[in-house]
Order: sequence, then structure tokens, then C-alpha cells
Amino acid sequence: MTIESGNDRDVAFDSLIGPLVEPGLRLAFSMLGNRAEAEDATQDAITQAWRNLSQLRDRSRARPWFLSIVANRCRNLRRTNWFSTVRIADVFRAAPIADTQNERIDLEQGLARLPLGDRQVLFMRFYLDLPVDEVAASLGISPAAAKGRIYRACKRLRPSLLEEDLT
Amino acid sequence: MTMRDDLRTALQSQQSSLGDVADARQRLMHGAMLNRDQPANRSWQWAAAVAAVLIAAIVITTFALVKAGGHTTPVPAATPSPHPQVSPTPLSSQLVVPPGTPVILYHDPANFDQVDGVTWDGRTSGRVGVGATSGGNAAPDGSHYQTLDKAAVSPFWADDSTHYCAVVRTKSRDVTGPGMLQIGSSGQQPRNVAKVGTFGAAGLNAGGPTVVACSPGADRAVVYQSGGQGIGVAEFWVIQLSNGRVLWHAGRGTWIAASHDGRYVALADDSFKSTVYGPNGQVAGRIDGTVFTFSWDASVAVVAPNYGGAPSILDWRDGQTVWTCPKSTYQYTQSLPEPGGTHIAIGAADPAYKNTTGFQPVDLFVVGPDGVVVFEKKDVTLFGQ
Repeated sequence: MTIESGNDRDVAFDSLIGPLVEPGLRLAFSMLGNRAEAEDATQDAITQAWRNLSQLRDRSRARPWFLSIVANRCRNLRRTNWFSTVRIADVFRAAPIADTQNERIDLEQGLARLPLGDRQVLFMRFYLDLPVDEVAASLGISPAAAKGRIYRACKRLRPSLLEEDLT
Repeated sequence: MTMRDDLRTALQSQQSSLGDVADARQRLMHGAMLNRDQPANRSWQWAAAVAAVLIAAIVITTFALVKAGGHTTPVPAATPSPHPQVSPTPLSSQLVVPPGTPVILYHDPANFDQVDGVTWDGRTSGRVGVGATSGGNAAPDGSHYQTLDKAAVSPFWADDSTHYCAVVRTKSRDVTGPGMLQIGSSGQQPRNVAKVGTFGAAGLNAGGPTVVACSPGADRAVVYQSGGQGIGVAEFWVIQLSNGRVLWHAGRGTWIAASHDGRYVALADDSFKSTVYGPNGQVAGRIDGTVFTFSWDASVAVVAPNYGGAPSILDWRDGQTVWTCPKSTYQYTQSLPEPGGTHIAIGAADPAYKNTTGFQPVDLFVVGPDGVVVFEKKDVTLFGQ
């Protein structure tokens, strides 16, 4: 892409990355499970994207490029950060869970226990509906390897899963 | 339903707890743009290192030249003097400290929504998180904080910075009823400890029981019942957390403070004198002024004539003054002890500081056990800790 200067660059950056902020925030939230940390990671990712904009040669690949920066920030945050925001109020508000919800709750809890990388691929594939090649680009791996990662992440959630269940 | 559908539903449910993100794009882009021109961590460190080497080389060369010329220039002795630190733009680098290192949290002076942290020696600071516009409260070591915008109750963090205590209503808000002291930790259901105090019907604004110390390690909590309209102290109880037993209780005063482990309790009276009670409720000392905070080992206390008076640090056993606020016009606002350490952080407000956020900016003094100010931060708003 052409790198504009000054104000033009601001406008170009906003039109390129602005629409990706919400998907980025949602990806960060799915990986970190905490809004404050997710916002932190996304904001850091935007700053990093600004600084490294020259590395993005193909504007059409902005989405996997930016999401990969967000995912990396989330991993760094988990590695280095022992600070966290807690929502103690949620504990006090906790209500008994109805039986009919149990299966969904199990899946949600299973998701929360998955490694960060697995959460990332499942979110990108099934929530953001990214095509496999974009998931692959975001992870820096081949589409075939990305397919394998998605399947293995699902298998961790439901060991009885067959590959055709995902198609 | 297929696995794909199940996953979508689960992910959607998970995302629903993220809440409203309508303003996220504008807010996060703006925040990121504020930081964009600041050097990245590593390049900044490299630049600082190169600068330090150059300065050292210049100093050594100059010193050698002076020596060679046979001159001896008297050099005034360096007096360690803590310099006030001001952050003109929001801190962009993440605070990275070894796990377990206590930090003091404060609102970033250039972005109130951002929480920054600084170590108790003042040497390391950085960004901790966001979401602080409405304030919040933080664990004593600063490792966790809770923002208040979503909080139904405001729990009191335990001294282990993991658990918390809270007194909750046992009956509807519309009627008067006893409080229940609970202890819990994030992600776990709280455990009932004991019924304590009384909540008035919400409409009457009659106050209720409040926790001032919570220590799973010492197996104690201190809870007081406020007087009418939530003012003053009608009665207080020292309660064993493991079995709910009241170890001792006393009452009536204007202000209560307790050591982190609940072993020492100070109660101020109408004449602004405080009585310090020991672990079994015996009177351990009496001092002039209102006690607001004990040091972690409870050997000294932050005292002011009243809330809003100029603070000092006293050895409450012998009345010796350890530190006095440098300006008598400053007003006591907040203080906290260093967890496991000997320092005390005191926030005192310069009356000239404007309160534009709903929270009082202060000068933060971190004072060592010898009364020496380790560092000072001017015009900063501490995050509830």
C-alpha cells in the first residue's frame, strides 16, 4: 500500500484499521475473558499497527494482519502481566444455573479453559466467520495446518467430535 | 445442532458479557494515537543506555582533564532529594514487575481512565489497565483492581490481596435487617461468616455495617456499624473468619481504622483523640488526632487532626512524630501501608489543586520507616486501594 504522510496517513489508517477495532476487541476478549485487559491489548495493537504499517504490503490482508497483532498482544499480556481487573460483583450476583443451560455453560467453560491459541482459531473461524485462509494468514501457517488447528481445538472441547461435524 | 452451531452459540453468549462496544472504535483509536509517537519500550531503553554511556564518558573525560590541569574544584555534596514526578502524556508501556511486587495504583495524569502503577521505591512505573473513569478499588498489593461501574457491592480486599470481605443484606433493601459478613475470592461463591450489624431500609439512608479489616491469615475481620446517615461509628466487632465468633467488640466514636490483620483498632472520639486497642481488645495507647492507617507492622500510624487536616506519621506507642506533612495547609485524603513492608503512602491535597474528575488529586508522599520521603508524585489521583 502507499504510505501517506501527516493527516492523510491518519485518515488512511483510520479507514483501514478503524473497522477492525471491534473484531479485534472481541478477539481479545475471547482470549483474555476480561474487558479491561482486552481493551488494553487492542489499544496496544492499534499503536503497534500504526508503527508497523509499512510492513503491510497488501491492504486486502489488513484483517488477518491486525488480528494477528491483537492475538500477539494478548499472549504477551498473559505472559508478563500479573495485574487484572476482577468483577467481584458478578460473584455476589451469581444465580443458580437452570439445568437446560448446562450444556451451553459446559461448552463456554470448556472454551475458557482452552489454550489461548485454540481460543483464537475458534473465535476467528466460528464467530468472525473468517475463511480458513485468513485464519491461516493470521496465524502465519498454511490453510491445511489452520484446518488441523481448528479441528484439534474443537476436539479438545468435545472428544467425541468427528471431522464432518464441523463442515 | 452441529458443533459449529453450538460453538457459535457459546461464543455469542461469551461475547454478550463484553457489553456495549459502540464507542470502542473511537475511544481505543484515540488512546492508541496518543501513544503512537512515543518510542517503543526497547528502543527507548537502548536510547537511554547509549545516552548514559555518553554522559559517563563526558564526565570521566572532564574529570581526567581537570585532574591533569592540577585544579581541584570543590564539588558540593550531593543531597539525595526526591524529585516530584509528573507524567505529561499517558504512560504507554505496560508495568512489568516480578509477580508479587506490590505497587501503588493511580489514575494516569494525562488520561484519567487509565490506571498506572508505581513500585514502592518509585523506580518502576507503567500502565496497568483502563476503565477507571468511575473509580474503583484495588487489592492492597495493587495486583487486582475492580472498577466500580459494574459493581453491585463494594467489597473490602483482604490483606492477602486475593480474598475479600463484604457485609451484604440478608433481607430486601426495603426493610431493616441484619447484615451477613462474607468472605470470598474472585470466581468463587462467597462463604457466610456471621450475621453482623443492621442495614436500615434503603429509603432511610440509615447506614449499615462496613468492613475495615479482612485477614484470612490472621483469621480476623473488623466490621463497624455506622451511626445515623452512615456517619460515625456506633459499634464495632472483631470477628474470627473461620467460625464467625466475635472475639471482642466496643463502640461509639467518630472514625475507625484497623491494622491490615485486624489486631489493632483505633477509634477516634469527638475531641479528635484516638484510642488504640490491642489484639484482645485491651487499650494499647491513646494519641491526639484521628488515626487513618496503620503501617503493615502496626508500629506507626498516619494521623491527622481530622479528615482534611494536615497528616503526620506517629509512633503511636510513644507519641514520637516520624514524619510531618511539609505544608500545614495540605489536607489528608488517603493513605495505605506497603504490604509486607515498612513504607506508608500518604495522599495529601494541596488546596490549590482543582478537582475536575470527581476525585481529589493529591501530592503522594511515600515515606520510609525513618521518616524520609522515598519519592513524591505531585498532583496525582490515587486509585482506590
